[in-house]
Amino acid sequence: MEEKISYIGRMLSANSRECVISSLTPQQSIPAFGSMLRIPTGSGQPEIYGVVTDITLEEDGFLRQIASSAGISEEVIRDAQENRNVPIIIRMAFIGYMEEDRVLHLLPPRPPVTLTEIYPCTPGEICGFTRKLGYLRLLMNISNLPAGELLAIHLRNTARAHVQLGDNDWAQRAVAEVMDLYADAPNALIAVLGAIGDADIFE
Amino acid sequence: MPVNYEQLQIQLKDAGKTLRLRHDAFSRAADQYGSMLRAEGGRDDLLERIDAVLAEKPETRCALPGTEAVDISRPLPAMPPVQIRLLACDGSQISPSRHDEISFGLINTAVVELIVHSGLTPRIITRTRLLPFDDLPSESLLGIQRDAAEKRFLAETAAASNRDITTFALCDGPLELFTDTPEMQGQELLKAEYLEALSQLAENRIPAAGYIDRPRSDPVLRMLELLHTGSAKEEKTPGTDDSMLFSRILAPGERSAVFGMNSRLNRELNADLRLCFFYMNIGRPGHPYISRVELPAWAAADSVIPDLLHAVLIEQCRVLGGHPYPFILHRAHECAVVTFAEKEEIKRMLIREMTVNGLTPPEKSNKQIAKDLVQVSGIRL
Repeated sequence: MEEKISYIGRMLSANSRECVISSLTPQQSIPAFGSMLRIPTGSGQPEIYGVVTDITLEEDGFLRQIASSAGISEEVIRDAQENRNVPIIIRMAFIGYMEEDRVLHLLPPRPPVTLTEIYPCTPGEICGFTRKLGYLRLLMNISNLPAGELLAIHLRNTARAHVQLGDNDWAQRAVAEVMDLYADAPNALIAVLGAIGDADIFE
Repeated sequence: MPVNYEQLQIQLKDAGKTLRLRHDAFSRAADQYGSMLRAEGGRDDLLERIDAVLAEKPETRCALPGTEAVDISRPLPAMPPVQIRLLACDGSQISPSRHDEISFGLINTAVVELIVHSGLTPRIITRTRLLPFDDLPSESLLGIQRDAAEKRFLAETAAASNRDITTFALCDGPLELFTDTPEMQGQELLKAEYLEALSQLAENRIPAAGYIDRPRSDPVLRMLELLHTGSAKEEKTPGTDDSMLFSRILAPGERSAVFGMNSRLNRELNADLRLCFFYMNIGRPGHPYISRVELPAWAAADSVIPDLLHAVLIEQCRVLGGHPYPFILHRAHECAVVTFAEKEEIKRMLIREMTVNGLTPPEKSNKQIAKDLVQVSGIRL
């Protein structure tokens, strides 16, 4: 039985492609770049899946003031890191949704409702959603960020979830799919493969 | 109707000139008080002379000389490389408003515990109390109730702390509870709770300290006037205060002598609990910034506590860099403050409980609804 997972934040704004989440989770437990999140079914909408494409730690004037002073003590740093409610803004790109137990690697029909809770995906949910690889098409089309880095880190995390659940070949199939998707863009493919190489996804 | 800037423009020009004149007059007065302080610095009959004047009017509010020379400037002591526990408390309140859907009051207090040189994450404890609906206080009485709650929480937390480490119990603002206000009439229980908290701290040998940022009081100037005139008659230059004097006396990091305080309230206290104070310059060269620190007489008389408190507070102020203020007090404020969103959430929870108990959800007053409409439409925020 999987451990009950608590939500990591609430959705602030969204469009058809992505949403912005505000999180007050301690900084040590914020979801990693490239990790998968899900927005549960509610108000007639399907369960939406996405990946973290950006994480911003918002500053406030007080932190700026502390940071500019010399010789900050360990206690002050720990207080800022562990006690202060510094808002963490997470950007999540949609990569598909689940409707009536069917996984669809398409953008969701409509954005989720504001303030919806966002959950990290369990290994079971990751494997269930990524067994087929169509969603990689959506992932590689995300603009305004280094696609190679996102793909590489996502493939590494997802491959580990598959290995954990007994599928040792998933990473190989995923890389083959990436090569197919980039077949018409050799320069981009070289960059992506370079990042995938650095991510050690077959380890 | 918006502000009439045309009318205001003429008044602003005059205000600028007036402020310049006031500044020059205050500077001259502060220079004179500085000379008076230095002249009294070497004398050992100050207390006798003050006592003689106060015999005429014992409740005159003024500073009293302590064991240090009144014009002394104590340099910043080195911070000892040992663990020191700092407890800081602050509070905030929701004041009842008859214009809200439901009139309710709440006091929220927070204590932050930071152990200097420990490398440990500071601990935060909060305490929230919904006030009884049949005895909602006025806004000013609620402020005094909050003050008392802060001191009580601080004393209880301090009492429960490990005694192996030197501990200071800090709060923002004066330690003195102003019991002369009309709201305090008949509030003997509140006053007793407050004094009990100060006594509890004293019994545990934990110095309480009140930190006053940008103080505007003038007890030292009053003391100098009394010594100068030999009479309790009010002759002090209006508008001048002790900060103006000590910004000329103290170099950055230095503190003044520790003074006692003569006031009716202080005279009523047990001798150990009577409030004393010193000034510190937490500013930088060319930009003095004076703050006042209050502490009880038993702590002021200790050979170590005033200097250690001085070092601790300056170190805390330095955490905030260019706008020095004790870090731990600011954190206590942040932890205690009830935001507008939280107030609205508590109100929603209260209304939910009302409906659960079969009551009709109440509405805001018509006046408040009208105000909110204006704000929403953006005519005036």
